[in-house]
Amino acid sequence: MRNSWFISILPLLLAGCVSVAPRGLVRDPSADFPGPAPFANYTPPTDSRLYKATLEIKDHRLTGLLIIKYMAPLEPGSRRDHGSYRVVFTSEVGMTFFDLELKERHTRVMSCFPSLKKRALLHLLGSNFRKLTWESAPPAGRAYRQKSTGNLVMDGRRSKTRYWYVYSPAGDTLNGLSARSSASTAVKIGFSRYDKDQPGVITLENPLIGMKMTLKNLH
Amino acid sequence: MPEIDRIPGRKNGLYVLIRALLMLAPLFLPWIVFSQGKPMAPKDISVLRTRVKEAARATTTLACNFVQEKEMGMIAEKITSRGKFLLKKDKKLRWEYTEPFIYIIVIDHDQIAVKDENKVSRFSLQSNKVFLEVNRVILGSLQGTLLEDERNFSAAFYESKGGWMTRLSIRAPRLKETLDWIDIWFNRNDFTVDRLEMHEAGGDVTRITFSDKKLNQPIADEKFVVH
Repeated sequence: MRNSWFISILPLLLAGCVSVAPRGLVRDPSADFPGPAPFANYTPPTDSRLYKATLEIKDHRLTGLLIIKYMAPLEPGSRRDHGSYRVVFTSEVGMTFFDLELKERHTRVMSCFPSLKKRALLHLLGSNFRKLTWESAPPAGRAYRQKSTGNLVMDGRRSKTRYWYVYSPAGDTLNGLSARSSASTAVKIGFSRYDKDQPGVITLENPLIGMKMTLKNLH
Repeated sequence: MPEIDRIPGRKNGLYVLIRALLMLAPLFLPWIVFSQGKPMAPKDISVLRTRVKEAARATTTLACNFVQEKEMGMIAEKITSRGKFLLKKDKKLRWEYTEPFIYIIVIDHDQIAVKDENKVSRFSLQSNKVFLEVNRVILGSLQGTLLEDERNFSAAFYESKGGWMTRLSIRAPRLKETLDWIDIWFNRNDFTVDRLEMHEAGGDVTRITFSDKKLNQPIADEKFVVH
């Protein structure tokens, strides 16, 4: 009886262990306002951006090219339609692994390689790419300092998702972003090797399923 | 959760669009026929099959450059990559991308080595479905074996000024999930492959054009080893 009770709460315990939040934070109210204004910052593409991409899930590894493209709405200026983003991942030799359409409120799978046609995986990929498109702007939040690095961390919430934006100590460079609405969609995103104002390398990690995607900007 | 179906909620619009296209199709028929050439006579098909087979048999090595264009029609984007291609009998292939990224695939019989930047991965062809299909399609096109694979493909032959084209419609259910058809253009002089087009089920097209072909020149075995 005691064992069955333990087994039933085991998934909850494991989920609780998945943490993407930066550790060792100390409140810094002085940085709350006006907040960081980084000049090295990730912003979603207004047209398209091409990346060399690697997707690793446990022992499996896929490599190829990933394109993120903003598709303007059919009726410019429409209040209801703000356009969409298309995220297409293809192998180097041309075969499409997946093609996702990210509307403001929902994700649609346009095409997908048969072996990747797993609902949970596609949902997670859609959730990850939302953080690089529709949900990339930081919500209003409170400022913290990370004791070990001195990094400025802005902690905020949008809808059911909690976000931590990690900036350099001076607040001029966005180094990372963590987001969590549930254990399964918790993601840690790193931005590095800035070229001009955009990161040259972006890493997305989902600790629960051990998925990691690396994007290297080719433009 | 993401929806797996294609364009839900747009059935009416899509239906109207398809109907309109079908009604207008006769207007575009001459253009469609012209772009792929005119259908070949059965006796010419038989000659082409034989000549392609003979050319493949006579080719011990092939070295060429290639330009690969991935056209994503729905989002009006094209990704162009370039590289070098080496083929050596029997079942040795080196597929090297030099622009806009460095990526090398070497297939030596049933073993694959992939060099992605500085990382080398080795695995068996049978263990990787993606490379298994890529190898079957690309190597099979270049060696002409795809034309004989009636279990997985049905072939239609066309002739134009530029050369001969074979359209291989996919029969294999698993491959059909990703590819609709493959077009292969053969050179009029040496019956080697000039161009390969893979039309995906999602509407994307990958076009690979081969140039500067050198046939039966010595290629060292070391070229098929990746460090």
